Parts: sequence; structure tokens; C-alpha cells
Amino acid sequence: MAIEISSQAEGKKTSISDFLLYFLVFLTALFVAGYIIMVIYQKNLENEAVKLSESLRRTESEQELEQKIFNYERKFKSVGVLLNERSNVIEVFDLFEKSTHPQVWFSKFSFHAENKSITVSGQAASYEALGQQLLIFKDNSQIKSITLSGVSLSKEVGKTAVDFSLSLSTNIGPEMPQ
Amino acid sequence: MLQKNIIIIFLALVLVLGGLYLMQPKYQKISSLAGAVKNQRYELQNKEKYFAELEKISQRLDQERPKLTIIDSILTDNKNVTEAALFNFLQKTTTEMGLTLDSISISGESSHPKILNIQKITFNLSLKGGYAELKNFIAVLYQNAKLFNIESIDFISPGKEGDFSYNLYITTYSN
Repeated sequence: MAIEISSQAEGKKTSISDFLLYFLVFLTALFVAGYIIMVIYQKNLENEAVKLSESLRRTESEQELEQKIFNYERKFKSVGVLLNERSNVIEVFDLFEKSTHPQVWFSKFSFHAENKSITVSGQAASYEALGQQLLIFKDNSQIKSITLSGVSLSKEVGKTAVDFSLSLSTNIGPEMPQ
Repeated sequence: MLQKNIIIIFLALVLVLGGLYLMQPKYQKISSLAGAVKNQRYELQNKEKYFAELEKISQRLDQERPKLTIIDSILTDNKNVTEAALFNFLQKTTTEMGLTLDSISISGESSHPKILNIQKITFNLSLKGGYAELKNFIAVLYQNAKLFNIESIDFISPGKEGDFSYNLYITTYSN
């Protein structure tokens, strides 16, 4: 009876160890196959990375295209700033043509674009004409402030006139591009 | 039986050590590589979009070639060519407008305070002539493809006879 039991236990041990052996062989095969797949996958990834790096590198034509666009972008911005800075001298002349009193004439004219200031010297037929001239300038929205100086009676013989100097501060904007 | 057990132990050891020293480092390497490739694919996609957009802009710019020529002439690249051409242009235009050019000189060259790589060239012009002629000259100057800016203008009336004397400071720009 004892011999029978021992024989059954040994049979069970054998079948467990066989199963374990086959399972480990299977796992080892799986491991080797998995490792080979991983090696191939890694190689593929490395190849793709190299190709992608090549594709990411800017070609000469791409650099030229980029340079062309950036160059024009910079030029557009620069020209925008420059046009915005451009003084509108014609508008200054138009202002004087429209706003000069018929009995006032200007002998000296000076315009400085940076501070949009105008300095003029001239003669008015009378104090009244000069006063009216100042009112005309005062009513003009393009003129911010007026400073009158050097008002005196003209020294010219046989003529009644008033000499004066005016400093005008304007808000005449930049010349608009066409 | 003993031989079988040895093989089992050997295989188990191979699996454990292989997992630790071969599989795990390989997995980590592949993970980081896959991450890098994913980023590169994303970068490539962005690059393709970016250059497609630049290509569209370039085509639009090519369609606007006449306007670009104006922009190019406003900011001429070569400074020496600009100065020589400008002297010639100013001399020719003043004569055509009926003005007398008494003198012309470059009064200053400086970098533009607001724009990088832009040079300001300021000319001083002394002219004689009528008021209408001066206005026409300024109009022609401002319509020219080259950008001119009148910095200052002074003039004195001649009295009853004679021409006005003008003194102008004109700025133009080069790249």
C-alpha cells in the first residue's frame, strides 16, 4: 500500500516539473521573440528619427523662402513707421493759403516737422486786420496754439502797417500714403 | 529528475536576469526613442504647416510685385547708389519744376532711432523760384517711389520782385 502512494506522488512531481519546464521554455521562447521584436522596433524608430531629423532640417529653398518673407515683413513695418513720420508740408501750405487774411502778408516762413511748429513774420494793414488774422487761426482746428510777438508799427515811410511775428503749433498729421 | 530541475532553475534565472538586464533597459530606450520620434513628427507637422503658410504668403507677394517694387525702392539696399541717384534726381526735378538749385549737400547720416538697420540720409537744399513751383516740387517729391520726408522748410519773400529763397532739409532712407 505504501509503495503505491509513493509511486503516485512521484508521478505528480514529474508532471508538475514537466509542466514548469515546458512553461519556462515557452516563456524563454517568448522572451527571445519579444527581445528580437524590440530590437527591430528600436532600429525602425532610430531610422525614423534620422529621417525626421533630416526632414526637420531647413533646406536652402526653405531658408530662402523664410528670408524673403521676413525681409518683406521687416520692410513693411519699417515703411509703415516711416510713412507715419512723414510731414505733410502741402497741408501746411494749404492751411496758410486758406487762412490768410486779405490784408495780411507773410515775408518769412519756417516749418519744422519734428515739433509741427510754424514761425512766420509778416505785415498786417492794421491792428484790426492782425486781430482778425489771429481769430481766423484760433478758429482753425489744425492750429493748437498761437504765440504773437514783435508787434510794432512798420518803419516803412509813407505806409501804415503793423509788423509782427507768429509762432504756431499745429496738429497736422502725417502724409497719408496713396 | 535532477537534470530537469537544473534546467528549470537555469531557465528561471535566464528569464529573471534577462528581464532585468536586457528587457528593461531596452524598453526604457524604446520608450524614450518613441517619445522623441513623436515630438519630431509633431515638429515636422508644424514645420510643414508653417512653410505651407509661408508659401501662400510668398505667392500673394508675387502677385503684388508692382507694390513690392515700390517698397524695395523706398528702402534701397546700396547706400552709394542711393546718394548718387538722389543727387541726380533732385537736380533734375528742381530744374523740371522751374526752380533753381543753388546748392545741395548731405547734412547728416544717422541710424533711424526707431527702426533697426535703417539709415537716415538728410539733404540740405537751397533753392530759388516761385511758390507754385515749390509746391509742385514737393508734390513730385512726395509722389516719388523713394520715400522723402521734409524735415524743415524756411523761406523768405523776395519783396515786390524776384524769386523766393528756400532752404529745405529733406530726409530719405536706405537699408
